[in-house]
Amino acid sequence: MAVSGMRHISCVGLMRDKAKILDMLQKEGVVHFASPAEAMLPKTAETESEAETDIVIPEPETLLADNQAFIALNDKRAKLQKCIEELARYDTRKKHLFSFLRSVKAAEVAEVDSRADEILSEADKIIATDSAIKDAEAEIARLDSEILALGPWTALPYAPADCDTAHTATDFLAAGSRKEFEEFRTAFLNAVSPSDICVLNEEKNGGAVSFAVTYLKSDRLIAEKLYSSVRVTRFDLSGMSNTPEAQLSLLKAQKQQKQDEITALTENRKSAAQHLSDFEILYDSLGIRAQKMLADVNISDSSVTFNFDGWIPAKQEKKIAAALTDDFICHVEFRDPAEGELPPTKLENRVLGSSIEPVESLYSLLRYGELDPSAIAAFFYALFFGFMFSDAGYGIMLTVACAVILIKCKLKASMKKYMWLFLFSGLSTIFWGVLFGSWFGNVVQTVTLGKFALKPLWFDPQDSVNTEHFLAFTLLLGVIHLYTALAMKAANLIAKGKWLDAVCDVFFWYIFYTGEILFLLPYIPYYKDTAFCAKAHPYGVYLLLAGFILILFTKGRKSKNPFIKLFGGITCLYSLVDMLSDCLSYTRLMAMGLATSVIINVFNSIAASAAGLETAGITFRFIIFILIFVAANLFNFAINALGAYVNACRLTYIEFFGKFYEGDGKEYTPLCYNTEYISVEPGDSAENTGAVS
Amino acid sequence: MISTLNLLLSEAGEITTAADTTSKFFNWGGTAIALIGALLAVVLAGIGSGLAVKNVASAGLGLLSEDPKQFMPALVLSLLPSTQGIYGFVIAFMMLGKVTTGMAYADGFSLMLAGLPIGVVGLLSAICQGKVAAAGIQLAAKQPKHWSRAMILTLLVEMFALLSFIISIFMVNR
Repeated sequence: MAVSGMRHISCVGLMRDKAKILDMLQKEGVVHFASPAEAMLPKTAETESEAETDIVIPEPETLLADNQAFIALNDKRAKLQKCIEELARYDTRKKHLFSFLRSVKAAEVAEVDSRADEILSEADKIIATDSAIKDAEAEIARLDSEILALGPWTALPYAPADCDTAHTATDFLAAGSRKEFEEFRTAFLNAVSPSDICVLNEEKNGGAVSFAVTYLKSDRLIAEKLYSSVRVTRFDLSGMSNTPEAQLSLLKAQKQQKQDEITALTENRKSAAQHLSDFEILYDSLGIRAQKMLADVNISDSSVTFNFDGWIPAKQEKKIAAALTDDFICHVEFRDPAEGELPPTKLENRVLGSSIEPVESLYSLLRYGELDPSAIAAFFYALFFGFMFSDAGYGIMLTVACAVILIKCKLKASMKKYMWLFLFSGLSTIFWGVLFGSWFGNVVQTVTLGKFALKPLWFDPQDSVNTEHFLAFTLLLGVIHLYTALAMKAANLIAKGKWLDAVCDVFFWYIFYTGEILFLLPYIPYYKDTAFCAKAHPYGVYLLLAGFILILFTKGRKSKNPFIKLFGGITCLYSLVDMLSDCLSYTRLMAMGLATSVIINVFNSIAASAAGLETAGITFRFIIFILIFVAANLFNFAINALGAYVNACRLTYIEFFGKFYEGDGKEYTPLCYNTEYISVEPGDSAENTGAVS
Repeated sequence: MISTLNLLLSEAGEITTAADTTSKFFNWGGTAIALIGALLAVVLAGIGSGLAVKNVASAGLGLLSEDPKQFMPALVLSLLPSTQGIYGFVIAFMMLGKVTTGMAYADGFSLMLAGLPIGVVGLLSAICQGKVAAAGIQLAAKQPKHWSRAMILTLLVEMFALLSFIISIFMVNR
């Protein structure tokens, strides 16, 4: 449970060593480069936050926006990424449900790097293949629509282009329905004579009619006028020198050809999937190079020397100092953070504390100098998650699943932390499940027809006599959580030496809130009947009054306005409502906990009656029970795990962190091998590291 | 004279039937009314959740069409307003456990009332929560890193459904 202490590093080195030094630092992966602009920020503690909002330090990416080498590098990466995504579905390698990094030896990375041009041209080929496939698919769609349009005319035994003679003209028309066709025929035969109408195709049930009309060329004007006055559509087939039948087979042959082309191209791509590993390695290797360029932005160069400022964890100081001065000609200086400087935050936690870091970072990054609440937050998170999930069976499933994933897969750091968090939550779920006697709900009782039941160690929350007890217990958990948050606030103040603030802003509030709780005790179910309540209630009023007076006169102590100084604390009355609503928020523990167990029991009884357990006992229909039981429980598991996750997050963020967490820290982003597909295993020889430069 | 008598008799007959019905209602109506309460809890809350999830999930699909990698935010935000439906279901189920044939009218009526908090608040809060969650999808589209904040703000609305759920539980278990 700690934020790693940071040391400021300043280094001056020779330009000729710069590339090697950067390689070395990237391999060590601990130096967080600071922008030279940061050094120019005003350094007073009071104005620090305002100053930061006024002066915008440009992101390294923006500074490199015009750098041709950087753009070219990113283009190559984009190309490789596209290929990787395209080829992913032809990937025959063993797949894992969770993304993980493949370990690759530095030597292999170097080998792939040396073939970069060849691999990139392979990538070009794949992208070309991809666009060829897309073209062929578009062509097939075009041919399809032509084939569809040709359908009604296949009965015509001549090529449409040959139908016109020296004196006669032939037009191809379609009417929307049989009725419209009849109207047209009557009108046409009356108006244009001599003429002939030949029906070529007619849809069923009086649908569209396709037909050809033949008339003397001298009557063309009359005919065309008629087409526009009566609702028929004219088709221009005059360019077709084949019979429609022949044209149709021609188009079909073309379509087949395109389909064959696609099949061949797809086969080609399947075989290209063997390059996938190369693409991934090259993508990450280029990425490593890009990260170095981004770090380089923060380095000031002269013709002979370069210098940079940055931050490193205090523990790494000796190692980096030795690495820099032993092998290179360098001048390195370390110092503690000056007042007003904001070093990046690097959390250093053991397993329990680190497990909640991803959840924490979604809220806000801890500010350097704040106490790290991770371990405590993780403990409560797991406790509440388990309380809401509250089924021993589900707990075992969750724990085993997380354990298997943790052992089997090489996960990304944040994923690994999540898995640990759910592993702890799973253990807590088992704990509460055993206390409440829920093992996949009441499945044991259901299957044994009530002869045998797993008794709860504590009480059964579903039993209506326990409802009040259950609710009261969730409120108690809430008060403990909230008081811990206040204690964290006090600890933070004390760590900064602000003893007076700790007393006024935390201790007085403890008195105030405790008074409120004792005062309200007779109105809270379950507790109201306890002997403690009868004894403690009278003191509640005194504590409440004492707390109120203390806060009334101390809350406004920092204000310059004498009236506020004296009575600034009047707003604390509103905090009574706040505290109440915070406590009530913990009733979600009860709601989610009950929802999980009630729903399992409902599914169990549905499964039992579907399999006829109650009437016939265990028969061959037991398989129906198993099927429903498994499907329903998987569904319930998923939906309630999600519910427990988001609600535990909420309790952590709003009720817990809301009381003391400052946040808004700076992310610790050291120059390192930040990769997406592979993890580079350091090679044994020095030239291997040079390979990725 | 005879016709008047007939009329009176038939009226009397009708009155007997009505009294019969009333007494039957008082004997069996408790059960029916309690069942109506269970029905209201599950149906109202279910409608609310259904409508809300529909809205959010459609917005989520829009987000996915732009960026398929955003499945997690789309899924979580879509599922959030579904809890009201689950609460309604749990209350209805708990109520069904209390319903007995031939329960007293007053018992049935008070059981029915227990279904109303989660039914009514579930319906309205789910719809409101759906609106917030749909806005959260917009946030996820523009600021993918900060979608968890949308999740937390969406949960603020759920608080009220939760409170009614607890009250419903207490009313059922009275």
